[in-house]
Amino acid sequence: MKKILYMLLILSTFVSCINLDEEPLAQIKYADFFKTTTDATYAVNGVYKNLTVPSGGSWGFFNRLSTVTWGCAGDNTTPGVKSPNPDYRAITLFAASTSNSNYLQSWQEGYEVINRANLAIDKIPQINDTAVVARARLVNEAKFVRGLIYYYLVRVYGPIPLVLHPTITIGDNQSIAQSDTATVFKQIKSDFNDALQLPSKSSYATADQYRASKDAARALLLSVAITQGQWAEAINQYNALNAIGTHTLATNYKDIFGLTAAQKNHSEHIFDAWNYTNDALNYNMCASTESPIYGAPQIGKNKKGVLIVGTAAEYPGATLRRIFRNEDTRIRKIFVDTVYGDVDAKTKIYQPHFDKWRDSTSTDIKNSGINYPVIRWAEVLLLYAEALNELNRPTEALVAFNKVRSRAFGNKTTFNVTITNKDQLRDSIFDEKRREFANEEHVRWFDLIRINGSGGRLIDKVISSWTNDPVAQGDYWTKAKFDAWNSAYIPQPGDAKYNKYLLFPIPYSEINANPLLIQNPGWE
Amino acid sequence: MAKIVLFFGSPKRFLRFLLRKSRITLLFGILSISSVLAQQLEIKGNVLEEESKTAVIGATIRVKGQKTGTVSDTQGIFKVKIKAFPATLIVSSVGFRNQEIEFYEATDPITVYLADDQNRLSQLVVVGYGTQKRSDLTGAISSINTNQLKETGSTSFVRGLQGLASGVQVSSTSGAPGATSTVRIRGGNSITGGNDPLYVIDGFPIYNNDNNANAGGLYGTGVSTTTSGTNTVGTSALATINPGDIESIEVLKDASATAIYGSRGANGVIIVTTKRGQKGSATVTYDGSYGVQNLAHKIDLMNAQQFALFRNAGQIAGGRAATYSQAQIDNFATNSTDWQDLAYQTAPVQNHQLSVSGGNDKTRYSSSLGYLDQQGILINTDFKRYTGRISVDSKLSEKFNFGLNLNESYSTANLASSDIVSAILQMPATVSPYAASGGYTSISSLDAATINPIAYLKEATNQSVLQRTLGNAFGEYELVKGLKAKILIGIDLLTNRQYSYLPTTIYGGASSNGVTSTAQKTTTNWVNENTLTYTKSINDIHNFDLLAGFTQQQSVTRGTGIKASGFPSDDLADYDLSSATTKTLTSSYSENKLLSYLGRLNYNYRHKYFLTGSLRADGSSRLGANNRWGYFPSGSLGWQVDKEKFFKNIASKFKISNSKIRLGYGKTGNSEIDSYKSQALLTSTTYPSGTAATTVAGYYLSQLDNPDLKWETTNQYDVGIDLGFLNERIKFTGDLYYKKTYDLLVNIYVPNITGYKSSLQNLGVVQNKGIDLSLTTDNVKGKFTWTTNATFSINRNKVLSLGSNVSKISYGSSSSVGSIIQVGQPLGVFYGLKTDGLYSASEIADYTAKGTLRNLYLGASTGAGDVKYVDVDHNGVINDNDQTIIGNPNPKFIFGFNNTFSYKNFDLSIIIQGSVGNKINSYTLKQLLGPNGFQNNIASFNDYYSATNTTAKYQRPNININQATYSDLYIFDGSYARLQSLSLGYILPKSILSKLKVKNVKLYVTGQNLFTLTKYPGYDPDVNSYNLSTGQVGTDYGSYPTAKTFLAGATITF
Repeated sequence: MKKILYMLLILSTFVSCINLDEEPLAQIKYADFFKTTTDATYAVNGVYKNLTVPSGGSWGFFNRLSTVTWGCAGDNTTPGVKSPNPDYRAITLFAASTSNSNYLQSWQEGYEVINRANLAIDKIPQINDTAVVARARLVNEAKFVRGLIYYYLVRVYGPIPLVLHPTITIGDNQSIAQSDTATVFKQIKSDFNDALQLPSKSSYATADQYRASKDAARALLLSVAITQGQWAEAINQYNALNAIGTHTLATNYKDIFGLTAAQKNHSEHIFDAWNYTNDALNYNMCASTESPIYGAPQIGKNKKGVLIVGTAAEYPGATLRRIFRNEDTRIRKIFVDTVYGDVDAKTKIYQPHFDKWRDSTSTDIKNSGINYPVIRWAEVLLLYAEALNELNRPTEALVAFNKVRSRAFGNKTTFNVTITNKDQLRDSIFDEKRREFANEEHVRWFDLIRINGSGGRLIDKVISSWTNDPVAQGDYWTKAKFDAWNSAYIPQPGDAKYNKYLLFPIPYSEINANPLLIQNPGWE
Repeated sequence: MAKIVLFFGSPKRFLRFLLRKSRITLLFGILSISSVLAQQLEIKGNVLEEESKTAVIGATIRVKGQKTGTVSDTQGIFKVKIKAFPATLIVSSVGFRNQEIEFYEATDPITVYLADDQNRLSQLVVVGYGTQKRSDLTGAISSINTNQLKETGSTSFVRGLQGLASGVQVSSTSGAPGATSTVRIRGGNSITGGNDPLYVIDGFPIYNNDNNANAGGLYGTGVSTTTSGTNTVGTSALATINPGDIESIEVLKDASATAIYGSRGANGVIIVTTKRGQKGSATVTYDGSYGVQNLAHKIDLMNAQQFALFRNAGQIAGGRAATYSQAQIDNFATNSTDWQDLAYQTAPVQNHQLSVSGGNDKTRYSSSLGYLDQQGILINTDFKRYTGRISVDSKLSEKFNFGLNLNESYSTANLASSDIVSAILQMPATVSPYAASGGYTSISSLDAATINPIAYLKEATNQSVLQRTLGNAFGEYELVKGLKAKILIGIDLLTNRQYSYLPTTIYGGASSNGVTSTAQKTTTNWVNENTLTYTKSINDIHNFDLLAGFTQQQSVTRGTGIKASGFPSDDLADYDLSSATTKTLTSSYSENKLLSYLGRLNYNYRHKYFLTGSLRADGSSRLGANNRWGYFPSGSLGWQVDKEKFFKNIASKFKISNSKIRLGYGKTGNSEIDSYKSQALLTSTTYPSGTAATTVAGYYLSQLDNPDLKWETTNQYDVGIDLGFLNERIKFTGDLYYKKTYDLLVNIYVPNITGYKSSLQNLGVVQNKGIDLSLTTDNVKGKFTWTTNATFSINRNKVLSLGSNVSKISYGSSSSVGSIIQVGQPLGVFYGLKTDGLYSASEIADYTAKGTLRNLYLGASTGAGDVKYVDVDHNGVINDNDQTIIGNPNPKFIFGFNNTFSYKNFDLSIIIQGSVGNKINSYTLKQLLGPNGFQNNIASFNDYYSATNTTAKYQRPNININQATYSDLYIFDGSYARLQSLSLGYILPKSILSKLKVKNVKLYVTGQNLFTLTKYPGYDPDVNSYNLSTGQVGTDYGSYPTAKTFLAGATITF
């Protein structure tokens, strides 16, 4: 029996060789994070990152999500033949169900950014080191982004759950009820007001230009005031913004979408989602399904370097292309009008495509380095003009308005607007915004639901963008086609049944998972 | 036990005698009627293996009733002294049936043929942590006939298992040399946690993770611009094992057999034992074969002219101008490219193996060197494998045994990208592979363009190098009689290096001035097992067999990868990464650990009543801190009914030679998830800074803390019966089983307000139930023998729950789902729109008049000849809500039907296997049935709708149709029966052998994949492109077709 004892002794020496605790060496454990201000900086950079391309490589709030979802919902974009799924068509046609993937994506990606911001806002103050000022700034940056996302979500979905603390352990934040829109707006303003503590944009070093600034917080407060119809407050915010520092328009429209540091950091830019050419993590992918394929030398191209085939999944809505005067310099940045036939590369086809985001220096059309402006000085000027017009100050409104207008025509005043009739000037402002921000679809959709007021009028606008353009080819949605397709389905102007489209539905899967949510009217 | 009586008398009487005797036995001694004086009471002879006629070395020859005996030498020759006639010799050897020969007087030297003891009751079966007699088993275990495995000619043992065991479904992921196969034992249990069986190679438990053999340096996506998504490329980690080195394979199917592997037993266990040395002087064996492989059949596609007309029709239907002019179309009559002819070749394959084994009373050894060179049927693809193996068993003292196994393998594979087959099929015949201006044509230039597959096959580099060292050493010490302690230490080192390069002469490399990717991944896996076994028999009435043990295992995987582009010259390519202008680096690290305690009791009473109980406790590092440990018990009972007195009459009446009833239950687990899934983790990212082209670092919380993450648990019940008739000439095994897997590891939807889309949690229940049957019959015995082995398996699988919030999990986007997992349905049913033929012109007119046609898939241009989707929910709109279940990828049953014939020196083996009732979701054919003229179509699509052909089978060409829409048009019947292999062998007669001075020569010819009976119009109904995804079984995504192979070879023993 002694031998057995020896044997067991030998065996027992092997016991406790292994420890079942895990050390994930290639990743950082949450428990080891938020120890220094450097960690805090990393966490806030992680918040910004999701504005362009989220972690899963999906669309990004200020990226394709904007150009497709809000573009197709509104009158600026219509899905083309290569449109990869019927969800875009369904949105365009006001026939989408609550399980439409576009409705889900804006929800998902919005809350993903919010969670990252919440984590920074809650955890950075717990760090204990000497960089108190830097940490306070970082928290306010995160608050700006949180306010920004809630500002979009509340306009898209109406009453939404206000999630203000991060999800860290499974089970956190599982079911939170919606807050009414007034409460959500209160939170948004509170976040933007806190962000007013941030440095001004001009005081940031070049390397920090991507950060949220006091200017950005003011500009967003101005936008919120306009959305809420608080015209005097809007004027106050404009004046406060002007007091922070000088913002000017870029001389040429195309330079707003430039690739150099000087172009990206021009004072017209107040807050952008940043991208770099051929950067695998931060890229603008709007061009990938909108522009015809360019720059593939081996396929054969014509003299202008424009490839033969237009393979856009989304086309410009036909009314959009036609509201531009031929003299408008923006056309050349926003559109390419003519592509070449499929086979011989010689036959011209008139078929406008979006071209705004194409980066000719990129090896991959999906990988554009053009920044996506979230708010720029041109928008501030037009918002300001709108407020002045509503306050019956058309002359001042026209000054602001014509700054944007004249730039479009080579800084010539030839086509300046002189209308002073309040209703007509309002229409002019909105039409100008439609042109100026064409293919920056986070602007137009919110104007549409704001100014048109009722679902019926919204429908009118959108349907009028499907037109029988005799020279347009392909699968344009035309009104005639639509009528033939289903006469019973033609929306009637002013029809109350379309009011529901002023808000997106709460996504089907989300309603399923969170019993406290209440569906928006008309979508039940 | 066979019996032979030496006969003296006339040949006529001898024949009668034979007839009488051979009803039971086919083995007989060579007769001699010459009389020899029995001056010495001695019998001489030699022992040969019945089938191969090779010498049986070390066979024991005992004289009944005497203590004397001997063993046969390396020539199989023996000489035994006897006391007196008559005498009975008992000749025995492990793995053979015993022979008894009666002698009445002295004779010339005799020849004793020993028959293979495959599947015999006395045979030892390798089970978890030990061996058991087949007659003592209480669990469901199938032994693979390794002779048959060899005859399939498979270069991978996994592939060769097809049809050889009941309850085991093997499907082909790719026909590429060295590619992986999917193995499912009694159906899939898991959604995320892995469904592959555990492989135990020479006692070393390995969960085969082909990701470890795929470092990530291959190009594989975006090659065909019309397809997206990836399927498996790369070689299988199991392809490193040379099937020629395998001695035996056992498949442990039910939980009473697998529960000893606890948390890794839920998907069944395959125990592979490599060859061991035998006592005797060295045996040298050479085995070599050479063969050719061909594409089994081409898919009939449109020629250039047909495609041009089709394309034009689609353009015109969509309101566009025709693509091709009449002059071009006329020209296509003589200028049509057959891309399949260009891409496929007749490919040689050769395999050589040299093995040496031998030993003495103390030490036995076995070693081999192997070389396989298999060219692929796609040009410039191949697989080369070099293997070396050595095993030593040594008795260091009476009580101490020592053993060592070392398997070394090095393989290189030149691979085609995963979607090259799609590109070959989709590239229109109107496109020429070479441009008029010289060089390759780049892409097809038809809307969604297809890349030139020939340019890729010829110019792109895509290489994977796999190196594996798998070894273990053990010492076993007998502490007291019957009590043995064993310590085993094993190590498995797997290194994979991959290189790819796309030069500037082809599409993928042109715009980036050459693109390379190179990556390396090393997995180090070690195991330590410490076991105590105690065997005790009390007067052969109470027989005990006890096992207790402690094991630990750890696996670490590290990887690095470089992607680079912008090379100054194609000449440097991936050899000079420093010259590239753009480089991206990646690295990975993952580690997992398993700590286990195990125990087992086998008890039987008079070999009549059997009881087995086992318990294993496993602690896994991969699970949450609160649920790290799992306990996996099992229990089973066996009853050898024929040993009961009351059964004797029944047994003799029905000629029952064996009847046993087995009953088993066990709990097993599964935790095959990635490491670190239970922890809150941050992942690094970057964001552009304001300075040109520089980025700043960022981190975000990518994974939530989940300390409750736990085992996926399977409860399995099994009832089995083993029957033998006519002295085991007919053997039948049948098992009924029921498995219920709960706490499934599933990535489930979490409310998105959390900031996350899904998280890995334990939710849901899946059940599998089924029947495994196998029948082996010796149909004809005697000079001519015919043996049949048939297997038949039914499995029914159903998802019972996916938690409270989830009713289904989809793969693919909302409109092109393809496969889903849905409660109440089998795993991975196909999902999409139902179709009801084509719209007629009058229907369209009618709908238009009523305004009731609202089809969101076809859009505004819906017209006559378009596909009519069924409005399943009758709400007047055809949209995603009309998607429904359109097919089941799981077969109604699978079968194998294997026959072996032998006559004189010839033997013939036929293996037939198949699957019935399963559906295939073919992305490959979906592309070839596309109506928009973006890529080529199958020839039968020429029967398309047009104004002049309104009764057509297929829809009208229409550029405006959204290609992604999924419908039952792309679901096909995947039933098939295949002549898997046909092998004819011939053993050279002794007379020639003695001249050649070799012991044995066997010549053989084998044909593989000769004939398939199926309705599936794709390359191969035996297809499963996504081997790792349970939710996407039965999908054909441009899989590399399986070749038809003819081999000729020889086995020579010196």
